[in-house]
Amino acid sequence: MLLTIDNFTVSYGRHRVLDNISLELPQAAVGLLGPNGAGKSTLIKAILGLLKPESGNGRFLQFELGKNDKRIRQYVGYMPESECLIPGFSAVQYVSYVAQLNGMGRREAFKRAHKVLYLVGLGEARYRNLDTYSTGMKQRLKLAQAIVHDPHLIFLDEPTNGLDPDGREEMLDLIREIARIENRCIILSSHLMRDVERCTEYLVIMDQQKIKCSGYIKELCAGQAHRYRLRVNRDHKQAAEILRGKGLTVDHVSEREPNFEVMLDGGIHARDLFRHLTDAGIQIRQLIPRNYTVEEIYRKHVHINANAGEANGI
Amino acid sequence: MASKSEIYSQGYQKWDGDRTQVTPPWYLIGRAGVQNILASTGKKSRMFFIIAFVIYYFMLVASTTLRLQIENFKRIEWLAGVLEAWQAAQPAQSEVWYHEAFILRPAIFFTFWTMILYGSQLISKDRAANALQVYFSKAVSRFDYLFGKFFAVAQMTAVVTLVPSAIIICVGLVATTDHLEFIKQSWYIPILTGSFWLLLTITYGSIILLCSSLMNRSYMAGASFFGFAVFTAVFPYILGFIFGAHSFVEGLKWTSSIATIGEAIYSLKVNEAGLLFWQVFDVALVTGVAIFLITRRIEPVEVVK
Repeated sequence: MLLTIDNFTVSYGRHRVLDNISLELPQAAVGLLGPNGAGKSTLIKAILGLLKPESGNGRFLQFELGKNDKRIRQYVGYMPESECLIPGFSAVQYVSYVAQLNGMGRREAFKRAHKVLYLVGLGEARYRNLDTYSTGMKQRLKLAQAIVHDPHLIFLDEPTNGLDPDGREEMLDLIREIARIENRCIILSSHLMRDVERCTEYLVIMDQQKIKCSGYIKELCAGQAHRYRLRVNRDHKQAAEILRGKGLTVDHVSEREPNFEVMLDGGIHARDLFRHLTDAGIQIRQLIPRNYTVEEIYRKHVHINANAGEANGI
Repeated sequence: MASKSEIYSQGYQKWDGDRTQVTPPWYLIGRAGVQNILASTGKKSRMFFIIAFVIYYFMLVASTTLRLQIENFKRIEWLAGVLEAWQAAQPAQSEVWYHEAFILRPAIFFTFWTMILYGSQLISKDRAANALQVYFSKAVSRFDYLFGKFFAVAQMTAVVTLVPSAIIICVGLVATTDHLEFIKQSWYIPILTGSFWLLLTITYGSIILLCSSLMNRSYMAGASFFGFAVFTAVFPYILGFIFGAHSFVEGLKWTSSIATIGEAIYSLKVNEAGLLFWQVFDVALVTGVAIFLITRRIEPVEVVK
């Protein structure tokens, strides 16, 4: 495990912001989800060593959390959500400055800054003053400063904020590429669940200062082998009624599209669906095993939307 | 076809370099602080300062050469009368006296205005740009950051303390007719000038950095520093009027206390020990409180808002 946290408790004065959390992060792209005030930022601060936990301990690589803060930060990259560029620099000066702060030599830092700026698509604009950068360019620059020292763990806080659709796609591709590198872990904190779904393979959901759920997305979203989405050629409402009449659980009947969901339980197999509907002259056009989406997993665990999760039957 | 430089190669590349701090972060922060100030300064004001310093340094060279080579200059007929009159009016002084005369007051004057114009930008610009979170997410501690900012102030104050002192000593060594006597008189001057430089850096630096950390706009930080100087000049009079004269109250006159401490450093003697004690106490107290408050203002927990 890249990062292990055991019984971390952090408070701001009397207000508890992380309540006895334990977490183990593998070397993978991790999505960190949670509503505002869930404790995501505090968790990041605690890992960066900027907040001392009241209790608990942890380990990042070979370093113990809370004891080697500066050393830990040499192996961690952080792309903040808000704008954070030091004024008066050109992009290449800024990125190399940040690299030097993280321990690189001046020559190496400049070399690496050029490379990283090309990587994020700012190669042509690298000598321009930062004040002249657009929002999208600043976003790319923030990514460049986070990865210039090749960190083993990268925190990305809302990395696609302010990007146009093409820029967003490029940014997500970049994040995926960086995540593919061996021993490089990404923690993507975003409210855009599709971004998280696209870029990450491991999910951590936080709410009310606790970790509600964590695990590989593939495993979290699976477990519905008996649930199928059905698309028929005509009158899907009639088809749904027929299947209900046969004792099957049918829900999510679409109003506009000819599809609905059906649960196969009580010894009923998929081939039985074809038989029941063909008798009524209805053809099945699509039969897709239905997995949970990240959003459904999120709604299941996050307190404010708990009822919606229950309504979805998950 | 020649292959492209590796700089242009696309794709994320690992870096297997050694992650030990090559350059101390405080040095980088201090250097960047001055670079940013120079970059943000307009060409006209930069030229103004360059010309002012060229004139100042030229005057130091000229006056040092003149006083050490006065006998030779007297051979110039049209200059002889003027130099003799000047020599008669100015009794011969020690080298340290010339340092105090040429450096102390100009340094205090220059430092005061430099802090208002440029020192005020050191933290406020970082705060306004939300850059503290960048610093503290790197291998930078609060101490590194604060020490770096003091280093930036130190570079500014060095221009009016260490540099002129070095000019006077170097020119003196070249121009003197009695090298042994000159070295006997000057060997300890770098230590005195260094102490005075530290005094200016720590005292003026702590107050301007506090003002700068309290405001997101540098002109407000400059104005509050100016306000502090005026307040500490006026307030002791009011206190003295109410409670009567006391050395502690007198010591609260911040700028004049620093000047008096500077004079004591250069003259290596204490005229009024009681007053000097309270002046040192008051200045140290104000500096200590200011540094404590700055550390509260640059909390690394602001890393994620």
